[in-house]
Amino acid sequence: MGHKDKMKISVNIEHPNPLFTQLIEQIKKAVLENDIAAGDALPSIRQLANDLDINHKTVAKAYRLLERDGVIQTKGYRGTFIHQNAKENSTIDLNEWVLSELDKTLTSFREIGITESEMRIAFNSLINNRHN
Amino acid sequence: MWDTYLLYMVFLGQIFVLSFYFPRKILGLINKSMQQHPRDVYPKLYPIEEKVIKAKLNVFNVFNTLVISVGLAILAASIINSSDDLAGWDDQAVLLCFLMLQYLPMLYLGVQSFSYLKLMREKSSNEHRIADFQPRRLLDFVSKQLITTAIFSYLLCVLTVFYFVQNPFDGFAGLVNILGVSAIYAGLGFGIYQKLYGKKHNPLQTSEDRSIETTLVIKLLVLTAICSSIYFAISLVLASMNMRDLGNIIYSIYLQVFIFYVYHVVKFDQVDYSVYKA
Repeated sequence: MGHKDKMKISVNIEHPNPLFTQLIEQIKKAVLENDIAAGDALPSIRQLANDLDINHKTVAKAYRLLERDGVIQTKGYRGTFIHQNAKENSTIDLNEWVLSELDKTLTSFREIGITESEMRIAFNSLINNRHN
Repeated sequence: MWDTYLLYMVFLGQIFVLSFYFPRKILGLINKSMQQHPRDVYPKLYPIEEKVIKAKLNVFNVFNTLVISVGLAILAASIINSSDDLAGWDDQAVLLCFLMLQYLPMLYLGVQSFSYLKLMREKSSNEHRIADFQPRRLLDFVSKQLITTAIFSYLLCVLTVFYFVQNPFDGFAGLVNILGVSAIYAGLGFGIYQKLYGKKHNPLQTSEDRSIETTLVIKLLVLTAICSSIYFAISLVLASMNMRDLGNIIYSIYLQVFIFYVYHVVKFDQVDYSVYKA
């Protein structure tokens, strides 16, 4: 019935970073610093959202992105757990990678004279086509 | 005749325990807490003026005094009229109606506590929020044995109902009884779920205090489930033996013992009041 040393998680609602990003960063940091280990259970979305007094969708989004990155995994009704490869996966920042890849692409477009307006139109068109 | 006197005694006990002893003790705990943690040192504990708090506690006190008066009037009328039944009416109905009346002051106090905590939340709207990052699970707060007992007592109650479906007695309601006990279990289960995963009502409460409170509330809810299903089974057996009145008496005694137990386990001195300092 006792509890081991409790890890805390916090959010600052006035901070410019979105709340889901704050959650993701803290969970990845906790994994890298061994505050939580592979296989450890995470609180449910409802529990964490209620404890932090934030919207359930915010926590759900953070968990969804962490699952996509292979930091956590959901095992049906049993709950959500830290992924076996969470430590390796926490070092990869997909947002950073997307930014750097886009930056490279945009630089090459600029070099051949494509305007920013043309790039925006092409980018939006591609994104919309994918969604459709 | 002895059962009538026993009923009077138990009814008097119910008046005393639920409307005098328990409210007095609760008021004592609140007043002691206010004296030991004054507003100038613990301002966050007081989202409203002390005089407003005292006025509300006074309403609670008056409310209970009125209920005691009604209870004593019922008892006096029954004794004067030498009635076998309370107020010359059905004992079970009188006990139930009076019990609901006795719950009203508690309900008033509960509603006031709820709005008090709401004011606390509004006044301490903290942009920096912190939470434990561990899942709360039922078995972290209550033993496996107690949960197993709750399940077995439910099954015992269901089996008792099935037995009387096969061997009915006069006035037996049939399988509806299972619905009754299931509704109680569902209600208590919802209460447990809310306590585990619901919103944190006191924004300043430490996680240790919350854990102690959650343990206490869940244990009481599980015990209520066990006692209600056992009582349900016993009352069916007594009704089949044409001893319904004894069932009423047992119900009243059960409530009184439960209230004593609640007071015994509720402790304010374990609370970490440092969070309410300026």
